[in-house]
Amino acid sequence: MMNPEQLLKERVQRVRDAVSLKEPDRVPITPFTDVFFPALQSGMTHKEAMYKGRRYSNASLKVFSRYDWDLYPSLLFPGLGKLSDILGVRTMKWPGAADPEFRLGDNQPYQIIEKAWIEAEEYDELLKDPTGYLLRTLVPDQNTVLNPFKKFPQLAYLAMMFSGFNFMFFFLDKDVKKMIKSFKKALRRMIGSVLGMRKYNKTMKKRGNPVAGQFALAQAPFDMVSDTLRGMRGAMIDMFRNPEELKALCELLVTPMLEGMDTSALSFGNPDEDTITLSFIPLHRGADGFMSNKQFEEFYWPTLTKLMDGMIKKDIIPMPFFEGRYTDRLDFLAEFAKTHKGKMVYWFHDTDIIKVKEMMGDYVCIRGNVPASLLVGGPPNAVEEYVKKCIEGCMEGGGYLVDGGVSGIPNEAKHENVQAMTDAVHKYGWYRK
Amino acid sequence: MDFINEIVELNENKVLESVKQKLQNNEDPLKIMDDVKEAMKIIGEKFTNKEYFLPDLIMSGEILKQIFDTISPNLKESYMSKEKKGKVLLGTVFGDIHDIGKDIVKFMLDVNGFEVLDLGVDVPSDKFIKYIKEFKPKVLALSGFLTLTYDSMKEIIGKLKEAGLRDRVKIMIGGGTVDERTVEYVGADAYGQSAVDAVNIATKWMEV
Repeated sequence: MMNPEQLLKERVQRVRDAVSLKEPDRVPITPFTDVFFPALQSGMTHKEAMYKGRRYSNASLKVFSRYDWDLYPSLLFPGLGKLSDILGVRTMKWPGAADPEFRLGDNQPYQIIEKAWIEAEEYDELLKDPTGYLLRTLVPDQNTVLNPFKKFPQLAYLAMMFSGFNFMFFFLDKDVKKMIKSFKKALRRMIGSVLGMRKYNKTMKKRGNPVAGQFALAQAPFDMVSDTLRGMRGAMIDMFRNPEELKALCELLVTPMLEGMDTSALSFGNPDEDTITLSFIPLHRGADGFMSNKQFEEFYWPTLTKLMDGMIKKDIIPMPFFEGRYTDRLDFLAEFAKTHKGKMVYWFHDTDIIKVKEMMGDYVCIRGNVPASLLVGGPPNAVEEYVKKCIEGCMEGGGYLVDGGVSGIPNEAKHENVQAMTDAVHKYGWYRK
Repeated sequence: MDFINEIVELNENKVLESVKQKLQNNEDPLKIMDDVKEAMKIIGEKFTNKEYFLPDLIMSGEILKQIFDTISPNLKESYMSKEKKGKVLLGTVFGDIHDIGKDIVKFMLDVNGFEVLDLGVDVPSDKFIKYIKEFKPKVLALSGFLTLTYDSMKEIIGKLKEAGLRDRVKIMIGGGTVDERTVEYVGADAYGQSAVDAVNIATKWMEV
C-alpha cells in the first residue's frame, strides 16, 4: 500500500506522461466537475454552495475523496455569493443574490448575463486607451460598488507637477471613500476565500490527491469580446460592420490575459512541482455552426492560438475545451497541434474523439468525453461501455485523459454513474500492471 | 432579382439604399416585402446548406429590422402572418436563462413558414401548459443548455400527461447537453442537434 506522498507523485506522473504523449501505466482519469456537483451530492442547495464557503469546501473534500482519480477538481471560490453582493456584480444572476433583480432560485446555478456592455461607437476610444476606458466605463458598469471609478482622472492629468498629490485628490472624493470601505470588506472576504482554497489544496495533497491549478482559467479573445464586451450579437455584427476594430480588440486582449495569469497564480500559491497546471480555456463561439470556417480563421483562431502559444512559452499547458461540436474545425486544430507536440490537452464535448485520435493523436493529448446525459441518466453499465469504447479507441501511445464531455461531471450527475466511469478506467485503462 | 441578391449577400448599405429608392419610385411596399421574404427564405436555405452561419443570420435579422423601420413597422404583422405551415410553441425551460439556441431555432422555423410562439427563457411548467391549451400548437419545442433542464423537461412532460394533453403535441428537445439519450429520460419524442434538425422534425410532424 502506497503512502499518500507516493500516491501523489504516481498520479502526477501518470498525468504528465499522458500529456507529453508517453504511455503511463494506466490511462489517467482527471475529472473537472461543474461547481455544484459536490454541493448537490451533499444535500446542499446551490445557494448554500455560494454562501457557505466552509461547508462547501468540506463537502468538496468529502465527495471528491470518494473517487480514485488522478487529478482532482479545484474548488469554486468559497463565499462567491457574498463577495458578489459586496461588489454589486452585474454580469451574472445567482441564487441568493441580495439584489432581487439578480437573484435566481435557491436551486439554480449562477448564470452569466450576456449583453453589449460596450457599443460599436465606443471602439475608437476603447482601442486608443483600453485600460483607462475599461476602468472608467466597463468595470463601474459591471460592479456597482466600483462606480466611483467613473471619475478616475485621465492619466495625462497626472503628468503635472506633484503627480502624487494629484493622484490623491481622486481619493478625497466622498463616493470614493465609501467605495474604499466596501473594497476593504471585499478584500477581507477574498483573502478568506483564497486561504480556503489553499487549505483545500493542501488537505487534498495530504491525502495523495493532486489538484488541478486554480488560477489558470483563460478565454479565447473573441469570446471575451462576445461574452463581456460587445455581447454575441454585437461581436457578430462587428464581423460585418467593424471587422478591423473587432480584430484589433481581440489582438489587444492577448497580452493582458497572459500577464493576468501570473498575478492570480501568485495569489493561489501554485504552481508547484506536485501540481499540474492545465489552463482551462472554455471556448464558446468557435464551435461548428457558430461561425463559418472562414470567419473562424479570420476572427477566432488567430488570437486564440497566439494566447495558447504564449502559455506554452510560460510552461503552462493550454487545455482548450471544445464545447459543442468541432468536426468542421479539425484541420485547424491538427495543424496547431503539430507545431506544439505534447504541450497541450484538447478537451472535447460532442466531437468524435476516436476520429480526433486518428487524426492528431501523435501530437496532442485528448480529453473527454463521457456525455452528460449518461452521467445524469445512466445506467452505470452504459457508462462503463462508453468509457471502455473511448479507452480502446484513444489509449494507444498515451495521450488520453478520461473525463466527462460537458465541463467534466455535470451538477446533477448521479454518484453511481460517476463511480461507474471511475471503475471503468481502473478496469480497462491499463497499459501494464 | 438584384434587390433579393443584395439582401442575401448581406450588403446592408445597398439594401437600405435600394429600399429608399423603391419607396421614392412609389413601389408597392407589399411587393418589396415579398422580395424580402424570398431573400430570407434563401438565407435560411444557405444556413441549412452550411453556407451561412450564425453571424450571417444575425446580420440578416439586423438588415430585416432596418427594412421594417424604413418602410413601416406595421408591415411586420402582415409579413409574419401569411400562409403558415403550422404552430410551434417554443421556450427555454425553467431554471435556465440561455437563449441563443432557442433564438436560432425560432429564426429558422420563422423563415421556413411556421407560426412560432416563443415563451422566452426560464419558462415555468404551468406556462407551457397554459399556452398548449390556448395557442394549440402541434409541436412543443423545449430548449435547455444546463443539465438541470433534464428534470425541468421531465416535469413539464409529466404535467402534460397529468392534464391529459400529452397526445395533443409532439415534443422535440434541444440544447447544449441534450442528446438522443435525453429524449428517453425526459419522455419527449425527438431530439434535434441543430436548428436545421428542428425544421426537419417539425416539417415531418406537420405533414402527419
